[in-house]
Parts: sequence; C-alpha cells; structure tokens
Amino acid sequence: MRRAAAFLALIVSAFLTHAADYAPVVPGLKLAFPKDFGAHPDHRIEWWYATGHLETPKGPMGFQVTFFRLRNKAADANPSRFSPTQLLFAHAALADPAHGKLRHDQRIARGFPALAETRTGDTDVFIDDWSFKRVDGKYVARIPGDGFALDLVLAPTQPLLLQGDAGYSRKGPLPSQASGYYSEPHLAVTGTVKIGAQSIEARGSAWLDHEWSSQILAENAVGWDWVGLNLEGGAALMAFRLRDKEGSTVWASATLRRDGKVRVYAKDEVRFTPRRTWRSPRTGVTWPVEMGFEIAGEPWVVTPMMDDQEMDARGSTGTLYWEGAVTATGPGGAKGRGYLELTGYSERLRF
Amino acid sequence: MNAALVATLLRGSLSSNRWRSLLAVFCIALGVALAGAVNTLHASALDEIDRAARLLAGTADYQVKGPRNGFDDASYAPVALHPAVAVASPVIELDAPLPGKTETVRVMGIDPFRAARLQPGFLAEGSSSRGDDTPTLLDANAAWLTPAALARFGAKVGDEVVLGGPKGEVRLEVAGALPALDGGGPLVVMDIAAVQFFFDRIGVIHRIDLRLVPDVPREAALRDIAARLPPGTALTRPDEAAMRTAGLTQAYRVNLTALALMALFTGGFLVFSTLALQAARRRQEFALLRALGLTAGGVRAFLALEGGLLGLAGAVAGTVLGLAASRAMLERFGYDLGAGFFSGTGNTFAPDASSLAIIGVLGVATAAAAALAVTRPLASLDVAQALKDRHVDLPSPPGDWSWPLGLAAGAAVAAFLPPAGEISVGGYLSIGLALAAAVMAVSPASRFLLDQVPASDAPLRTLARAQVKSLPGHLSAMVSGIVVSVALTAAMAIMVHSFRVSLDGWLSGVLEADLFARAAPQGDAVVFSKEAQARMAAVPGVDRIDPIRFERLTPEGSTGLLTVIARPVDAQLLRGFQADPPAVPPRNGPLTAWISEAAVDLFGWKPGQDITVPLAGSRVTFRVAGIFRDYSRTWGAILVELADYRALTNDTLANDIAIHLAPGADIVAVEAGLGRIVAQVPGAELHDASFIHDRALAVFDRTFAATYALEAAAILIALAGVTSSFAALAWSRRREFGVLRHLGLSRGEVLRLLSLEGGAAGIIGAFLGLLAGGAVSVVLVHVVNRQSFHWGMAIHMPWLGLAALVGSVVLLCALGASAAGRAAVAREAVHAVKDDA
Amino acid sequence: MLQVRGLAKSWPGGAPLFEAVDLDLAPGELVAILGESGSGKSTLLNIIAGLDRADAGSITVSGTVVTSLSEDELALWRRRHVGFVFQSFHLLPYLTVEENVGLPLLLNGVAGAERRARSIAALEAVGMAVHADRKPGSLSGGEMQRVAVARAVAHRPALVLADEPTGNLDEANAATAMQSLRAAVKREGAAGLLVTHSAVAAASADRVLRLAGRHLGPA
Repeated sequence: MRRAAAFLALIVSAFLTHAADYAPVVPGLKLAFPKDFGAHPDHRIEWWYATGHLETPKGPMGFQVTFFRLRNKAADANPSRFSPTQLLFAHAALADPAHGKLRHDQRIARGFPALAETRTGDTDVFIDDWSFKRVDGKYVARIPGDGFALDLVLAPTQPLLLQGDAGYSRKGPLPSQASGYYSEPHLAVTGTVKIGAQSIEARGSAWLDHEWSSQILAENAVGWDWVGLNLEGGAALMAFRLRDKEGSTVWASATLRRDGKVRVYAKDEVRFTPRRTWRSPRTGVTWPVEMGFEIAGEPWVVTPMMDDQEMDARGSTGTLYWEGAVTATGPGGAKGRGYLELTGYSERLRF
Repeated sequence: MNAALVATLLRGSLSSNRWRSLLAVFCIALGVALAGAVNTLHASALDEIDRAARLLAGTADYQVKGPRNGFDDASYAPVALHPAVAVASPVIELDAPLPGKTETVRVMGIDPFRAARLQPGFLAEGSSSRGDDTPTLLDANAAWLTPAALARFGAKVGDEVVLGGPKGEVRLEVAGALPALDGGGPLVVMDIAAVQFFFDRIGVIHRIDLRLVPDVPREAALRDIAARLPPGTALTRPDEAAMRTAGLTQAYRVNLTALALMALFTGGFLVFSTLALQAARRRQEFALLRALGLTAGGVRAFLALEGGLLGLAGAVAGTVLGLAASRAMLERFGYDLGAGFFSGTGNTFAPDASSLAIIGVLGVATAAAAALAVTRPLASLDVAQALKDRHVDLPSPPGDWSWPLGLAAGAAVAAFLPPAGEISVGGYLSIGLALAAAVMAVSPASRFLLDQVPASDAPLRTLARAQVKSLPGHLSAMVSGIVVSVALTAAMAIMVHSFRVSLDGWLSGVLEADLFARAAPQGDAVVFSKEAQARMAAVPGVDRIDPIRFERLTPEGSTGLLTVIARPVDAQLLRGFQADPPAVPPRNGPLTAWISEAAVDLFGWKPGQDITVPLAGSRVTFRVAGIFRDYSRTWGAILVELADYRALTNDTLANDIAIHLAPGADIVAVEAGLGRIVAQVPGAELHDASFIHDRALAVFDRTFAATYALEAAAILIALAGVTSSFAALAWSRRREFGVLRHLGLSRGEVLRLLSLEGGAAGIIGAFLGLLAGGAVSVVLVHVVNRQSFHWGMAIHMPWLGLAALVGSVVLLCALGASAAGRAAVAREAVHAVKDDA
Repeated sequence: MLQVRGLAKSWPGGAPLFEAVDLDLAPGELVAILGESGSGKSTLLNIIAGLDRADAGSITVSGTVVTSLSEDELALWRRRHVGFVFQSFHLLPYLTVEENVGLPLLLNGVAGAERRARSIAALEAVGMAVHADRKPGSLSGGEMQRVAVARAVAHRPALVLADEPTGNLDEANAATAMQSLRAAVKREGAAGLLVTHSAVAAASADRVLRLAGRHLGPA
C-alpha cells in the first residue's frame, strides 16, 4: 500500500463507487516478469515509486521519482483521441539538507500516444520529457524538473522482493482490498543531479515499489504511514499502517528480507509510535517526522535527514504530504537508510 | 488686438449669431461625435479581442491556427514532441447556442493539464477541495464558466446549464467559476474530449497554443514546426489577433469614418457661411476698426479665432457626445455596428485618446479653414468704400465654368485611381472633388438655368428671377449648402437603394429552394449529421435536399479569410448566384470552383486559373469555372460541388439544408414532418425561403438604419442652414423690401417674392445636388463599394424617394424663405427706407 | 388732384404731432413742406402715401378716398398712382438702371417692349438714358437720384412724393435732381409733394409750406 491515493484525492473519490468495473487483484495472484514490470492498464491505479539516498560532492541528498497511472473507465465511451481513459501523474523531489526544504516538481497528463504513456510488457512510463524506463535490466530515470533535474540509472543488486503473498498484498479487512506489489530494494544509483545550472555527480542506493490495484482504501481509512529501508548488510524492511480518523490502525503489515529469507508480518505484529513532531511553518500541519515502530515486538526508529521534507502540491494537484529521506536504527544495532511517507495529516488545515 | 477688444468683438458676434453659431457648433460636434464613436467602438472591440487573446493564451508564444471547421488532432502529437516546444496545449472552440435563445456562448475544450501550464487560470480555484460527489476536472459533463458566462446563463456553481449540440441538448454541471479568465468574455470551458464527443467533432481541434523552449533559434524552430503542420494551418502570435481583426475591419471602419467626415464637412460649410455673413454684416464695423488703426491681419486673426472657437466648442461637445454614444451603444448592442464583425457584448471600454485627439483637431481645423476662407476677401477691404457703403453681401464665387469643369474632370480621373490597400482613396477623393465641382458650379449653373426660363411680365417672377440670377454671395452660399446636402443624401439614397434592390434580386436567386433548415443561425456548434440529412430527405413530399457546408480558411501565402461554400451546384443555382458563366462544366475535367468577386479582388484569382486551397489537411487544386456574386461575405468565397467536397474531406455534416418540394406536395405536412427532425437539433430552425428573404432584408434595413438617420440629420441640418441663411438674407434686404412696399407691393406679395426666390434657389440647388449626387453614387457603387466590399451591383434609382427629397427641399426652401422674411417685412417699410444706421 | 382735410396724428404716447392739416395740390403743381427734424413732415408724407394711418381726417387723390382703403387696396393704389423719391435713392442693386425705372411699370403689368420704351423715355427725360444697362452700384449719388426720379414718374402717377431727395447730394447734384423732379412733375401732370429742411430744395417748388407747432401753414 503506498502513497498514491494522497496525490489523487481529487480523482480517486470519483471512482470509488465504480470499483467493481475494474480488474480486481485476487488471492493467488501469480506475478510474471518481465510482463509485470510493465503497466496493468485495466486496474484502477498503479505506481512506480523510486526513493533513495545519494552521496554527492555537495553532501548527502535524498530523491524521489514517482509515476502514477489512474484508469478512468467512465471515459471509455468517448472515441476521442483525448478521451481521458488513463491519467498519468509524476512527482519528483530532491532533499538537500543544505537547502533546508524539498525541491519538487510534478507533471500531470492524460494518457496520449507518444506524449504520455504507461506501456505494458516492461517498465516504460513517461509524461512528455519525464521518463522512467527499464533498459537492459536497469531503470533509467530522466526528470528535467523546475529548478532541478535528475538523470539517474538504478541498477538492481538483489532479486525482486515480492510483497505479501508472493506479490498479493492485503490492504484491508476484505480480500478484495489488495494490490499486486513488488519491490526492488538496494538499487545501486549512479548519475547526475542538476541544481539550477550546476551538474552534480551522484551515487547511492534506492528502493523501487511497483504496485497496482483496483480497490485501495478501506472505507474508514484517512491516511497512512509507510517506511521502506535498505539496511546495512543487504537486508530490506518495509512497513506500513492505515489510520482512521481517530488515529487508530485500520490495517498494517511489514516485510523483512534478511539473508534471502522473507518474513511477512501481520497487522497485529506491526505498531507505529510517533516520537517527535515538526510543525510546518508554511502549512501549519504537524508531521510525526521521527517515527518509531515495532515489528513483532522489536523496536525501530527512523530519523529524518531534515525536518522539512513536506511536499505541498495543492496548487496544481491538490496534494499535501511528507515524503522524507530518513536514517534508521533497529534491534541488534541494525542500521539503514530509506524513506518515510506520512499522509492524511492535513485535515487540520480546514480551519 | 488686445484681449478686451477681442472679448468685445466676440460678444457682439455671438449675440447677433446665436442660432447660426449653435448650428455650426452642432454640425462640427456631430461629425466629431460620429467619427469619435466609430473609433471608440472599434478601439474597444480590438482592445477586448487583444486582451482576451492574450489572457487566454497565457504564456503561449505562438498559436497553431486552423480553418473554421478545425484540423485533424493527429497533428497535435508531432507538434508537442518537437524539441523546441516546451508546452503544447490543444484547443477546440465552438460557438454553441443557448436553447430557446438567439444568444450563443463560446465553448472552449481544453486539456486542463496542458492549458494550465500556459494559463493557470484554467484551473478553477477551490474545485479540488470539495466533497466526494463533486465533478472532477475530467468529468465529461463538468463545465467551468467565466463570470460573464455565468451571468449569461444566470447560473451559479453547482447549477445545470444547457447548450445546443448536433446530437441534442448538452447538459452540463457548473463545476466551478474561472474568475481569473474574466477578461476572456463568456466562456464555457470543458474537457477537450468531452467537447469533441458531445459536439460530434471527434478528431478535430482548432488551435494548438505553444510555448517554445527558451534560447532556441526561433526562425528555424518555427519553420521546422510549420513543416509538421497540415496545409490550412498557420503559426501566429497571440498578440496578432487584434491586428488581424483590425486588418479585416479596416474597410468598414474607413467607410463609417468617411460618413463622419461628411458631417464634419457640412459643419465646416456652416461655419463658413456663419462667419461670412458675420463678416459681411459687420463690414462697416470692421472698416471702422480699420479706420481707427486695426490692421487687416488683426481683423483676419479675429475671424480665424472666432472660427477656431466654434470648432473647439464643436470638437469638445462632439468628443463628449461620441464617448457617451459609444458607451451607450457598447452597453446595449456590443461592439457590432450591424456589420457582424464582432460577436457578443463585452465590457471593455477603451477609447483611444490619440485618435480622439486627431478627430477633435480635425473638427477645429475644419472650422478654422472655413474661417480663413472667409477672411481672404477682407484683406482687400476698401475701408473708405465700406464705411460709406451699406451694401451687405458675402464674397461671390467666380461665375464661370472653368473651376467646376476642372474639378469634375479631376473627380472623373480620381475615380480610376487604384485603392490603397483596402481603402478606396481614389473613390473618396473623387467624391470630394465632385462635391467641390458642384459647389463651384452653383453660380454659372444658376445663370445658365435661369436663362432657360423665358422672361415674363409677371412682376414677382421677374423680380425673383433677377435676384436669383444675379446670385449675391448669400444666395450662392445657401444654394451651395443645398447642393452639398442634397448630393450627399441623394448619393447615399441611390447607393443604399441600389444595394437593397441588388440584394433583393440576389436573395431571390440564391434562395431557390422552398424550405431551408439552418443548423445554427448563430454559432457553429450545431450541425446536421448525415443521418439527420437522410431523414429529412425521406420525409414524404420532399423532392430532394441540398446540404450546404461552410468552411472558412486561410489560403497559403495569404492572410485573408476565404469561405468555402460546398453544395450541390447546378445551372439554376449558378444563375441564382449571378454566376458568369452560369453553366456547370463536364464532370470528367478537373475539380471546379466558382469564385466570388471578392476572391477576384483579394486573392487575384481569375476564371480559367487553377487555384490551390487547403482542405482537410491537404492541398486541393480547383479550376476556376467562373465568378459569382456574394453579398454576404466580403472576404471572399468559393463555391464548390458538395460531392467533391465530401470526397475530399470525408466531412458529411451540413450547416444549412435547402429543401425542394415535390410538385403538388402539401407544404404544411412537409413542414411538420421536417420540423420534427429539426426540433431534435437544438438551435436549428426551419423556414421557408420568403421568411429568410424577408429577414435578410430586415437585417439589411436595420444595418442601414444608422445611414438613414444620418441622411435625415444631413437634410435637417442643411435646411436649418438654409432657413438661417434666408433669415440673414432677408435681414440684409429689409431696405429693398421697404422700397418695394413703397412701390406698391403688399406685405404678402413681398413674402411671395421671397418664397419664389427660395423655391428657385431650392430647385437649382436640388437639381445640381441631384446631378452631383448621381455622380457621387456612381463612384460609391462602382468604386468605393467595389473596392471596400468587393461586390458588384447595378445602380437602381429610388425615383420616388428622390422626388420626395427634391420636393421637400424646394418646399422647405420656399417656406423657410418666406418664414425668415416675415420678420424682416414685419418692420415698418417706413423705417426700413429711413434706416440710416 | 390731392385733397387733405383735417388730418391729425399723435405720437404713440398720445401727444399730438400735428392736427387739422388741410392741403390741396393741383396737377402739375410741386409743393414743398419745410420743417425741422421731428416736426412730423415725413409722417405726413407717409400718411398721404398710405404707408401710415392718420388718427383723424381724410385724404382724397383724384377722387379716391385713400384714408378708407384697406392695406391691400392701398398697396394696389400706391402701385398705380404714387411715385417715390427717397433720400437714399434705394435702387435695387441686382437690377439694371433701366430695370429699376421699369419696376413700377412691371408692377403695373406693362408688357416688355412698351415697358422698355417708357423706361428709356423716362431716363431720357432725366438725362440718364446712356446708363440704361448699368447697375446702380456704378453710378454717382446724383446720377442715382436722377434714376430714382425717372422711376418715380415712369408709370405716370397722380402723386409724386419725395422725402428729403437732396439730403445725400452736394449742391450741384441737388440742383440737378430738383430740376429733374420739377420737370417730371410738370411733364406728367402729377401732383408733386416734397418734404425737406433744405430751403435750396424748397426753392424749386411752386409753393412752399411750413409744418411747425402742429400746424401746416405758409412758410
């Protein structure tokens, strides 16, 4: 379960009632590659979500490159070339502690041949000049954004990490509340980051999620906390929880792969506890930027690279969330780096 | 001359000439007001177009524009993918009818994600933060309206609004307001795909707005982008919209301005006669001032100042009047003055100060020029003679034929000068010279005409004849006034009548079918689908239907607009269109087209020539088979066979349908059958030919209502001028009347004498005016009209109207003269002859 | 020929201007009335000409009781039977000398050829026939007044009235003009009445009267 719905709040709501029209993700899902690297256009929503830490001559930085696809069956009746049967969104951000806050940019487009596509068969998604494509087994991200640009190659160093039950990932109490979901932890990153006119060599390590679904949110969920960590020694940890209005957990899960062995933790074994909050001076939203969580009783803590990693894109796509590079400590001196995502905290903004 | 002296003189002059001065000021004001109003309306319209174009284009540097019916949206991706293009935003635009109303609203279909990158105003404020059941950006039935559009519908956010479309009514939910686009006029913004779908325009766009990547060489990039575009599209800058419109409306503006200048001319004439009378009446006063040591230059300066003051008063009053009038017209009728150039009403009121200043200065200059013309003879004033002499008169014009003949020859030559652009410079010069010739001909013509009247022993007639024949300056000025106003009025009347009769005949020919279905009298959103056409053809009693399809495009290498009329063409239709030759060439030859007279003028095309027209994205060559007459499109049109058009474009839609009934068909039943089909197309209308014919003429009459009003004003002003001239004349002749009374003429006989003189002056003026008016109308019809509107017409004389004009002018001259004389005769004859003052 | 009996006229305010004026003129007789400015002599002349109305009294000319005529009858009577000579000549500028003289004939319906002949004859009598085709504007004052005299008698009126005919002329011209007037009256057998304050002009008359102190009496 990931971050997309926050972005898409304005659109998702319109499709909730039509969930039955879309291809469901059902128990027993078998993933097949490279086909499942590509898009699943009949599912309602899908995303490719790359986050990672970079080492640069300017110091450590974090980056985020995200492509979303949203299926709109209501437009199928219209034979127009412009008919918005697929909507594409992309967000990119660069966290630079020297800058103190996120540089970010986004693209939105309707699916249109040659201009904005999520192709099937293998990972190949683009909106105009923003693209994320799997070439010779490596992911190539080209993001010429506003004020910054990312030109990165993400090379797998480990096998795929299939989430949930071999890629069938439950998101709620109902079996239909699920997604197809795999991750690529410990991607080796090389490339350049451009800030203004300045090109900076960068290398580092990243995490890719690819997830698709037709029914995402349980009715009473208002937001979620998610964390994905590349741990030292090659282990990988993913944990999330869905919150309701009161802040109680609606659903949660975690996956830990260590030494090639994958352990999936159920709802009852995962508990999130905010440790420190930060109040955004821009939006007034208070974010639990330092998060603690327990997996099967073992405590983990993630600490942000910088507090202000708030992503405010309400002016264009109407979304407000916190997506931040973090460092992690865990039981037995475990250490790692990864990303924390916090959504659904902006309700207070209503005043 | 010191200020106190000037003030004293002015007081004397204005108090003795109050009404005449007022009339002259009024005339100047009228001319200035008319020119100012025309200019302001036009400047406001252009400003609105410019601002709307810039606002809606946002940060776009260029726009790909296609023909009226749009172009293939397959061109969009290649343009968007061009490396020099940073943002490409496709747009489909239609004017859709509001069902049950005659109004239309502009529907703009955009890709909001693309458009918002050029103009963020396309994203409605707050539309993203509403509840779950709010329509979203891409919901087909959602529409975002500008405040002007909300006002037009009387709707608010959340309401349903209804538009007419080719597949029936289009019901939309107002999802949000677009306050940032308020300057764009009434706009209904929808998703581009929804517009294509609801309005049956799948695959069609009208525009692509482009922002180029900074720092790429523009010229090369633009050439390269243009190469990716289909024929019939062009790359323009958003700020050229107003310029292009200005070019298209130039002729129309110039013509209205010419009318205004004629009012100014009349005003100048009145200033002349007022000041001349003034100068004559105060000849002794000026002579006395001269004797007391005032220089000749001083006297002239005073008169020029007086003329300038009258002009200034007129210019100021006229500018205020013009601004008020244009403001009021803007609010009531919009920018359109009846010629259909600008649609809709706007709220931009943008008077152009520099133009208004020029018009005002022109008003002052006219008056000052008239004043200077008066002061010339004053320079040679014989002071001693003037002090003794009580003879009051204006300077008489030269009495021979050399001036009028020379000017007439000049007028004839000027008529053949080529136009400067769209402006018929030669035509207007010719009209000016013809009027001047008529004025200069007054003196010799009076003499010549009266020589043709046999001498008589009837005392009053003999006296009147002698008076008119000797033509003192007053009478000459008065007759000139009549000549000019009758000439202008007659010329306008002949031109308008010629146009109306020609249009009437043309409509009869063009509307050759029994019934006409018109998809959308306003706007282009509604069309008849092929199915609707088939159903109409199948209605019992219908012999055949002729679908008519219009397209408007810009031929390559040109900036003009060309209308393509595609319909079944046969010899009968060609005769209706007054085509030459009215015959259809054999079908096995090259594709044929008939071109309108405007197309001949504007595109330089000739019969027999092969012309290339971009249709449906490809270059199509037609052989010009002939020329036809088109009174509804001044920018040029070509007529092509519908079957050819459909084969070339795959466009089977129809804007209008001409319906021919089978012989003996029950028209009521057929109309009912067709009406049911037409009723399913919102905004469409079904009418018989005579209704459309009558409506076209009614529109014509409404368009020319302003002209009629101006004519009436010209006549009234001229007659007011005549009456005041007579009053002045009668005043100056009061001693003469006294003598005649001593000699045994009764008061009534003196008044009858004046009526006779007035009538004679009226007849001479009307006769010369008619001659000059006839000449001017020939120039108007065959030169100005042809060069400005590019259509030919035959001269048709409105005999009845002209007779009424002449009759009323003569009658009013006679009545005016005797009415003016009454005051003079009322004075005791005894005192008149004794009057030594 | 002219009989005036008991003529009286008051100022508009009511003060009497003159009263009980009696006057008789025989055909061919030229009578001058002298008087100061404002004595009422011009008013008397105008009343006799039917251009002004008397408060009391009667005027008879050749048997016509002028004082009982209506406005239009007066105009017609004047046209036929009265000739005028004015101080300011009052020739119509747009008519030739001959046409000016022919004006009374024209008004009386005399046809073209005869009118011209009689006009020329009248001009010959005052020595102005050579200028027949000129416009009055080109004549001197004395010449204009001689033309005016010719006009006054061209239609052979019963009564010739002259108001200060020499007022705008120098002595020599005044004498010539008066000679012309006297000769014309004698020739046409008209009754001539002139009002003047010039004793020189009055000297040409057969009889001189004076209007003074509201009464007309011998000079």
